[in-house]
Amino acid sequence: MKKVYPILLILFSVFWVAFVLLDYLQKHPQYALNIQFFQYWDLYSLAIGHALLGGGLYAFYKAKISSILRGGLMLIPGVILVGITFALVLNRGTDTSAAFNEILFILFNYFLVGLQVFFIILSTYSIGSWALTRFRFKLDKSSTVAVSIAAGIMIVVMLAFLLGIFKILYWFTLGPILIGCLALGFENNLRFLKRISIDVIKPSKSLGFIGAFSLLLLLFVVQLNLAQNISPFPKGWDSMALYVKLPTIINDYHGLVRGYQPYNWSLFMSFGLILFNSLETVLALSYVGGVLCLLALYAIGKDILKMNQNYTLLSLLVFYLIPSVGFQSYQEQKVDLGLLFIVLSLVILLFAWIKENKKILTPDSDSVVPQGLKLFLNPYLVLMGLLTGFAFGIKLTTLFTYFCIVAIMWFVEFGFLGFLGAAFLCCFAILLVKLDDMSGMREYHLSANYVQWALLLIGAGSFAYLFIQNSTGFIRTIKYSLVYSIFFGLMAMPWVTKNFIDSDMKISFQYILNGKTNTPPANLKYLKNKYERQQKRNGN
Amino acid sequence: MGIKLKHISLPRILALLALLLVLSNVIVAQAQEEVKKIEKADAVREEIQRYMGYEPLLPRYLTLPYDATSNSNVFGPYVDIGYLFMALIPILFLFGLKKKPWIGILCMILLSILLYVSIGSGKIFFNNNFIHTNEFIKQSADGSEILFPSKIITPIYKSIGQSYTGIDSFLNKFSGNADGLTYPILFLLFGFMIFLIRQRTHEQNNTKKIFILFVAFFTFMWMLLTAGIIWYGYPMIALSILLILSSISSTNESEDKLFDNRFKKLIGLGSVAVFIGLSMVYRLSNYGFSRNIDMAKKIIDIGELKYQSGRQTKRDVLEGFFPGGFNDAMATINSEDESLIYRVGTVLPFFVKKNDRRVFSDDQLQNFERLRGHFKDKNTLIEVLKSGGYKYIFVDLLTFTVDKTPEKTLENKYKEFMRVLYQNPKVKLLATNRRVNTSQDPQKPKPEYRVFGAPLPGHFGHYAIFELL
Repeated sequence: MKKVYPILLILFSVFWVAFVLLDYLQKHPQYALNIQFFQYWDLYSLAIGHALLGGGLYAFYKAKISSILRGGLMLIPGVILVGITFALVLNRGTDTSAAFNEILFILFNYFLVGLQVFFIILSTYSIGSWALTRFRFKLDKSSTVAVSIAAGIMIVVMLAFLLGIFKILYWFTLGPILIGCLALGFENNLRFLKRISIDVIKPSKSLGFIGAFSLLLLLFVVQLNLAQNISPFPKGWDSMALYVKLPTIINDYHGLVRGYQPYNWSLFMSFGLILFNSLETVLALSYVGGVLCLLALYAIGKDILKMNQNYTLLSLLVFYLIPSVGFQSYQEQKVDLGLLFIVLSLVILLFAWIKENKKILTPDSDSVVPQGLKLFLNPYLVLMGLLTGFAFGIKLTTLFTYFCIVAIMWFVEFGFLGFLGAAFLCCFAILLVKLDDMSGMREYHLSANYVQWALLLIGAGSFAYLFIQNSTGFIRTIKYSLVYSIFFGLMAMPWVTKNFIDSDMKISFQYILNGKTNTPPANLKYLKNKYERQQKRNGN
Repeated sequence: MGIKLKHISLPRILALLALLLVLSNVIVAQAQEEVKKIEKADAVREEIQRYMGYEPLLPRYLTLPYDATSNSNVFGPYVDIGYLFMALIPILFLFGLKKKPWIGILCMILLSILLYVSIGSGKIFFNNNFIHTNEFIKQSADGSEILFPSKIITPIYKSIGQSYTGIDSFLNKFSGNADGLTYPILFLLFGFMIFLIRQRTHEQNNTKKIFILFVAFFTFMWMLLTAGIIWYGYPMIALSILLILSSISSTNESEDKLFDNRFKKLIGLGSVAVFIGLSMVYRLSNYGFSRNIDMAKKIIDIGELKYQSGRQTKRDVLEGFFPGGFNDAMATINSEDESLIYRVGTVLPFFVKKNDRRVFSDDQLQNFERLRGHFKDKNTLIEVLKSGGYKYIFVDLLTFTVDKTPEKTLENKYKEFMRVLYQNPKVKLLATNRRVNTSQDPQKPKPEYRVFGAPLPGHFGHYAIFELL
């Protein structure tokens, strides 16, 4: 069988991949339409061509190019291509040809919005990196940048939340906070700025054609997406109905808006209006979530999976070219990419925690800090909890990440059985609090109430077995899960409290999660009463 | 006791799990003699569940990976994740089972069954529309199959569709809209998936195992809880890409290099290259247009482009996006502070001042249905809204397109809503971008901005603002 299997696998693989591709193309006629009527093959050739050329040149003249390669230089081809894109579209889409000053105007706005966003992100990096240094986090370079920004965003958004409570979200209150954040890590920021702009980049030795090609194409798409965020208003349904609408109302009231699901990322996006009175910057702060995801994915590929740099960069390109991701990057500004960035940072932290935990569990006679304290008030664990709580304040689907992290904690201690037991207990909790009702699917599952108890039985059974096997490890993992959950709850608490107050202190799961908005009433009972009263007044 | 416990292995736990879950279903089967038929109008069913489709309950979940790739339930770039995940994840998984060929073959059989069910209960693009496979097999003509892939795909759909009819009717009887078996089966499959991962990752380091388990559990929860909404699953997508590429890049120094490395790289990188080529064309098109050749021509919205280049002001751009009196209507509405707005599905409230206090949203017309049930006279209904302080109605003229339910519940509510507004003396149209031919002479069409009447081709419009008099 071992000899037949490879042949079977090759046949199956060819059939499978061919069928999936053809079926996908059959159901996505836009590709055929695009290719048939596409008017920008010149731009397409330029974009792909410059990446191919750059990749090829790098592969052949690696040493020479590496010696002159600087971060700032890397952005130039993309900027030129963005300018060409707009010139071509102006020429072909309008009656009047593009003028040079119009292209300069576009690029000026592009740089302006880019700088405003960069200022905000640099502030978050500064405060985040300061906090990480204070708590002695030991992460690899790329991971440090990603986690610093994630932690920094959490800190500044929470500060903005505080200002929002008192309705004092103005440029003169928020601005000094961000400048203060910058000042906190002034020297570090200067080093960072130098590193990403004028210092010679030292790419990995393995970087070759695929990596250089991917990076160049990626930089063009990243810059094109930013340029396309310069829009007088958002275009997407969800962004206009909620995610960009919220920042505009926050800016109108200079404070938090009553009701709605927690909206940490929309609060972050509101910085664009509060600080710069620029809706374009609000949109770009949604877009930046996608760029930060690239950073975090790079860190995961490089530092955790130890991938070859070529394939890591290729992964980033594939991710960023997914139509759904592209759509959220410039057409429909939402919070999902921001949330994804925080979740990816959590993945980085999870692996860092696992590594750190192993070290702590190894007896160390020199250490003066008690092992218990190091284990349970571990900064990685605490930050993981806080960031999960913050992500929960972006979208409630963070609970998936929370459950995954808890299950992985059990895997680390007990292997697959620990994972399965924890996963089933998580599923029990999900069914118990009827999270499956949020998609309206619960009512179709007639056995849901029984299945939940079966899951409890299996989960508890496996946990009992694990306890008998290794009670010390079991109690330790329970404590990890608890510490993580407590800090998660702590960071989620401000929103829960806000929603509780907004809903006039009514204790309801629905209100605690979604709050109560200022929406005017229009239900039958209310309108009927109003109408009848009016009729009485009119004497009918 | 201790000795016995040591012999409890993962397969045994899974067997116990199977027993317990099946047992729970037997209890349900006894308790639930009559399976409910849930076909009522429900906003969540109309809005959320359309992403996963409305086939019988069990295949509704089993086909989720396929639905996420084919987008035949809900179509558009916002749900499009490309074909790489569906194409490569199973293949790369199978590559690691070389030392356990029987498990590999079992996986191939399971994957084939999954694909068979997905095709049988899925849809195909035919005559510029998505139609169910079971409807498609009744079509005698070939339709407008201009697409090359159709020539290969449609015969497969026809043959699978015919053989699937019996299974479909069995599933309809056995599962239908609601059942007690789907949950136990899903949890069993999850347990089985973990078993397979354990087999597959036997020789891999802990990092890879943790990574794969994280993605697997996340994916399971996404399938269980999100009704297939793709952006709730972004973490699984992003991390899966890393897994795919790291698997393609990893080289096996074992005896069979040709099999492990070259073929894997060929098929993996080949698929990725095709994906990049296609996606770049799509990215340099306009996502805003769906299945319209303008997407390949107007790659940046013209109004937006004019704003970006300084040729137009924001007001001009708005007039371009929402022609038909939008700016004037908004000026009137924003000159008031207290008047309320009843909104059905449109994004226009974004431009209304204090929209958090002034706008009531009834996107799926659930509230309207209750009001309509009580107030049979359409004039009275408008009076009722007015008595509640409502002065304007915003309508998305494409609301009905959201409806993918077999019962067309939302479409019916929308028609009823428009009937209330139709020729109602208490309602005045303020703005719309729908253009209707008002001329009796077919030679001399006279286009006017109106809602009721036959819309001119290309001017169906998407918004209307009414004032209640």
